[in-house]
Amino acid sequence: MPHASNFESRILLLLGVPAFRDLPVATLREVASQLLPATFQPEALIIREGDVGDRLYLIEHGHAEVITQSGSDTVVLATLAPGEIFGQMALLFPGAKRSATVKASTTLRVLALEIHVFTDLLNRHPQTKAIFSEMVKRLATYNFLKLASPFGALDLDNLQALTAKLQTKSVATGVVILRQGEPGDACYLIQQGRVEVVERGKSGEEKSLAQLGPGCLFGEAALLTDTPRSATVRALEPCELLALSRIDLLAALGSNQKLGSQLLEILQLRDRPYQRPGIVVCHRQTHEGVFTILKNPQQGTYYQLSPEGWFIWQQLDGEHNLRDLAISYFEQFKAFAPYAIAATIGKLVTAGFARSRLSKVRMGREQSLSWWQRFAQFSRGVLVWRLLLQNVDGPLSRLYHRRFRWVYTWPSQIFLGMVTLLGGITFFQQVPSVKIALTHMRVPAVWVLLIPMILFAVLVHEAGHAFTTKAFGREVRSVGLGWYWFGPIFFVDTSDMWLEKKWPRVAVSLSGVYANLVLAGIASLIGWCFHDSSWVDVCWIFALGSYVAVLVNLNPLMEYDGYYVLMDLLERPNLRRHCLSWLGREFPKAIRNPALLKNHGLELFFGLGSLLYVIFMILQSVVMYHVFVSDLIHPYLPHFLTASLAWLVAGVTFLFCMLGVVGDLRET
Amino acid sequence: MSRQIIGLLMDRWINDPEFRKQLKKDSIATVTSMGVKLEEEELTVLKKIDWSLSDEELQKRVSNFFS
Repeated sequence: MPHASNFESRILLLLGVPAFRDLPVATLREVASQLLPATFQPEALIIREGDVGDRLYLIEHGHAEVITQSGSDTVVLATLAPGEIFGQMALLFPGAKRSATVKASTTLRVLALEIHVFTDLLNRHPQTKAIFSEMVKRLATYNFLKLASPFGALDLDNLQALTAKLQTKSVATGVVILRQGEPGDACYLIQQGRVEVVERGKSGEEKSLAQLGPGCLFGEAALLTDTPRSATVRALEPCELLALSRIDLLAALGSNQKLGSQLLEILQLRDRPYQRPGIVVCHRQTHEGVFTILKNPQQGTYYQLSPEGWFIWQQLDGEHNLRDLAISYFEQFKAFAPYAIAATIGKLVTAGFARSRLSKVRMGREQSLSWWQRFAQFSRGVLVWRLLLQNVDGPLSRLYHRRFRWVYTWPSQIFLGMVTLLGGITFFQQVPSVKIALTHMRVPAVWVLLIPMILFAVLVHEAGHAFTTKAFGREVRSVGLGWYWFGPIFFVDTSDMWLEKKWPRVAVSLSGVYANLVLAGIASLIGWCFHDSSWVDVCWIFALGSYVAVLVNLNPLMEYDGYYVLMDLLERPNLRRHCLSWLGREFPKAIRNPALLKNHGLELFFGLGSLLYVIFMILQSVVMYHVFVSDLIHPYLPHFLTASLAWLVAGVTFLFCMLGVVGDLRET
Repeated sequence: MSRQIIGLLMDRWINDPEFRKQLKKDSIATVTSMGVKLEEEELTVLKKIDWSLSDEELQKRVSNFFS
């Protein structure tokens, strides 16, 4: 941009402004001669919002920002560069006030044109006046889009492009703007006035769905879901609308993910979700009231609803939207709770228990995770994985009814209880024999017998869970093996027990360790009866191992059997996740403000206990893996390589485990 | 608070993200700034909002046996 210190340069600068371009040379020279130079330092205010306009400015050198207040936020409407003009909006109407503030972002050199010169110029050149009027209209639309519409999320260039594509439309009171059932080709943004959204039911009656005012967008659902208009929209008063075609709307969505998210959010909030067919409903009495458990038989997932949630669930019929639900909820519970209702519906849809027509919208709105969140998720995938054997319920049911039903009769249970008790007493009376047996641990023959016995104990433990679940008439969806943080696991999926009351759930969780206690008791009694035989050492070692396994699996700090027992006794589903999440999110605040600890004793003690236990186990595992790797490769590799590899394995283990812990705390 | 006013509040709440923020921050001031006159009982209705319904998907019950 040339320096406009001389007269010719000023004329060149004026010619760069489209509105002045067609002026006669003599007029241009006249205007140029009346331009007043001024210089502003960075951060200096050139125009203040609310002041009466008295001049416009042409930027000769430097940059400026156009800003305004929107609520508590300062919004940058535009960044201006050399050759651009500003301040013209308030000059077109007598006494008009500045609609925004303009601030120098660098040292700014401008040429000012006073209002009387500008007005005189427009009066003599109607064509220039028309150009300025159009420019101001577009600016007003631009500002409206930026400040009071979902499109405010667009960057300045895209917003300017969008402004050029919008068609203004004036509508009189009572005029139908969209008609239900017709195909959609445009959506509308209300600039002025109010409209009513109505839906005609199957029997022909009209139902008012919403009343929308300035800044609201309507008609976008049909464009995004590619379906006919779901409702009719008519003007309640004279309206000024901005129409946007489907192609331009999709282009705007493609250029800005935040805009897409916002529109999707509006669509979700206007949606009429419905229950997924085939969901099984079961009510359960707890000390906090009647809770409802939903079961999705296809996915094998379960969902707990409070009485309020159950009320909402019953109305998810594809007919009611969030507005209707909030009104019904208000009438029922005397509370205005749109957030809670929206959150409940959102979670039901995400979990696959309810459906929304938005499944047709494809905008790539997957939640974006930061690199560490992705790594934490990956770490969790490494630390916790399972190989499932599914569709086992039929065979297990048959096996239970034909072979194992007798175990769940009173005589059998009394007999097993006696064996467990006598075996336990015998074991603790024979501790010296156990100690002697442990000295034979390195004898290979012991392990030849012990390994099949351990595998049998695992089988019996899992069978205990599975058949007890069957004894309560519930489904076992899968069995399998996998890895859980520090070691291998075997498991049975007893999620169907969520439909049962507290004590049956506790019984199923305890049945595995009870099976181990029975086996340990039998082994102890055999060891006592045949104490002269050489193979009884195996019985004592097995019994000891079984009692240790019982203690480990009753540990509630990780998700073993004891955890489920504690969770059920407390009636606090998802206990560990809640406590760790609370610890990660709220505990740092509670340290600064101890009042926040009130009513969170369980979260604090269980969360901290669980966290410290996991950290202790991580450190123990790191040492164990280091020693294991060193011993394994030491005979084959030089010392420094052995040490390096051992530390590498230990380091990677530590990193994965710690990321897993962070993921738990941040609920990633 | 009438059914009609709840409807108006919901229309605004659904379509205006800024209103949602304000309502969460200070529900009574936001509602009164809309020109809605509130009785004593209605103030309680707005204060009584429960933001923390305990509804959630239940975790799988997989009886992990640590061997």
